[in-house]
Parts: sequence; structure tokens; C-alpha cells
Amino acid sequence: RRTGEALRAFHTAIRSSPGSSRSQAVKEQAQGTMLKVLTSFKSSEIEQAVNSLDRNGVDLLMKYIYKGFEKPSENSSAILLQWHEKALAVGGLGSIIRVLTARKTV
Amino acid sequence: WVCKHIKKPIRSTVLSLDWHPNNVLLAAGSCDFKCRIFSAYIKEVEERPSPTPWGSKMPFGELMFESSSSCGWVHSICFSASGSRVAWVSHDSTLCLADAGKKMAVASLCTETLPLLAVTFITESSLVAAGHDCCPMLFTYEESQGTLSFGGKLDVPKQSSQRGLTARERFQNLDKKASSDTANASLDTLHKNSISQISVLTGGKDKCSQFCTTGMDGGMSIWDVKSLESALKDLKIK
Repeated sequence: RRTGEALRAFHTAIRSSPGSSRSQAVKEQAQGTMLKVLTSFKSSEIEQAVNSLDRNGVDLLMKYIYKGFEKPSENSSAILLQWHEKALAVGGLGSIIRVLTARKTV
Repeated sequence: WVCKHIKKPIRSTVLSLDWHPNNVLLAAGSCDFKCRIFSAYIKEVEERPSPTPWGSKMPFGELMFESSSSCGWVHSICFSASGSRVAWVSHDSTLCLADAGKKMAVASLCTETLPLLAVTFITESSLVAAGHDCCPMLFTYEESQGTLSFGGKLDVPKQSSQRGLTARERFQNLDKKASSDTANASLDTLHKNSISQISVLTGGKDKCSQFCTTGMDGGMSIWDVKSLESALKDLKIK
């Protein structure tokens, strides 16, 4: 049940990502929400969550992971590294390249 | 000779060019992230070109097609043999294809690879591309769905026998790399550095039978399509 909630929250956060919003406040709020969702996952649940995404979703997730690395909080980096490992396995180096080249950041 | 300059609306370095088979339309890939097709029709020296799926009015410099921004320098661009499709690779690790037969609809693929630097058609629906992964790869365009998909790596190293390092080699590794670790000591691929160019040698862009890759390792390799098809069982070239 708890797993289901985390997964639903994850998909909601991915779906409602601001996209082309220019408002820094909106973007920061989305970053904060996503970070909360990502850190709420148990290690064993991460792979399933990543596999439930399509190619664009994985690219978006990778952007949020790096954003999370930029603004570390207590213990956030450890769980983000696990997310990174799983996202990399699915998205490949190309997904990281697209974090670096993206004009629209999250 | 006649020399004319096409400037607008290019905003940065042009990295790649390819001519349409009608010898009038010219595709250009630029560091401003766009692929464009221009008319290079010079009425003083050539006959008026017939209409193509890219359009019928072709005054000099006319922009027949411009892609919406990918997010990377366009390294390489290529018309298909018929000229009705154009493909390009960008530094954001994407491969794109515009199909004039489908109202210039663009299909794009976010690859899992490092950025590709070179691309060519080998049939009207199959592409070979290569770049910083040092390995040529096959991509397929599915016209009915308007999608591009990855068809597999073309450089599959034979399993060389694992031999141990001699004591001398271990010491050399320790001296050169501060590590005697053998993992990833060298690339498995034929090219030991990025592949920067792919050229069709025989068969043309519609029935390529041999293509050539050149790389930043100074190497030049010739690849035989039939041999690849028989060696790599899962390879499907449309």
C-alpha cells in the first residue's frame, strides 16, 4: 500500500513538472516536491519506478536527480545516487548528455 | 564560377552539408541547433528545378525547411537517396529525421549513447550513425508510425581469449596509469577514438553495400553490409 502511494506520487510529480514555466518560484517548488518524493522511496522500490517511465520520463527524472545533487540536504545524496544508478541503466549516457545540453532546465 | 552567400537565418557555425539529388537543394546543420534545407538555385547557370516534396518555389536562399530546436549542435546531416528524407544527429545525443513525404514531419530518437557525430542513409529507411562511442550503429525509420528506433551496434568484438598480464605489463600499467587494474584498459571497438565521418563507398545511399568510417584515432575502416548481416543475427536492415 505504501509502495503504491510512493509510486503514484512519483508519477504525479513527473506528470505535473512545470515544463516551460519561467517562474523560478514554480520551478523551485517542483524541485522540492520531486526531492521529497524521491527520498521517500525505499531502495528496493526504485528500480520498478524507473522501469515504469517512458524515454522522456527517464530524461526528466535524470534532470531532477542532478538538480537534487545541486542542492543537497541531509542524506539526500545517498538515495539520489541509487536513483541515478537505476536511471542510468535505463537511459544510458545519452540521458546524462541531455541534462547537460538542455535549454529548459527543471 | 559563380559564388553566392546564404546567410539568413543561420546564426552560428555550419558543421555539415549535404546536397539533395536534384543538385539544387542544400541541407545545412549548424551550431545554432538547427537543420535547414535551402535552395541554392542559381538561375544564371542552371535550369529551373522541378518541384520536389520540399516545395515548388526555389528562389536562391529560400528556406524550404527548418527544424525546431533540438538542444545540441547539429554535427552531421544527410539526405536519403531519393531526397525526400533528411536525417541529422545532434550533440544532445539525438537522431532526427524529417520526411517530406509526410508533410515534413520530424521523427526523433533520444539515444542512450554519447553524442553521434556522423550519419548516413544506407537504404531509404535505414541509417548508420557513429560518434563518441567509437562504434557504428544501425537505426531504422518506420514510415507508417513515423518513428526511429535503434537497430543495434555494428562493431561487435569477437571474444578474444582472456590472457593474463605478464609481470612486465603489470608494471607498465602501474607506471602509466597508477593502477594494475585490467578492466577498461582499452576499448573493445575497432576504432579507439571517436568516429567523425561515415561515407558510403558502394551501392549508393539506397542500397549501400560498403561504407567507410574514419575516426579521431587516425583509423579508417571499411564495413561490408552483407558480412555484418550474416555476422550479427539480430540485425535487420530494411
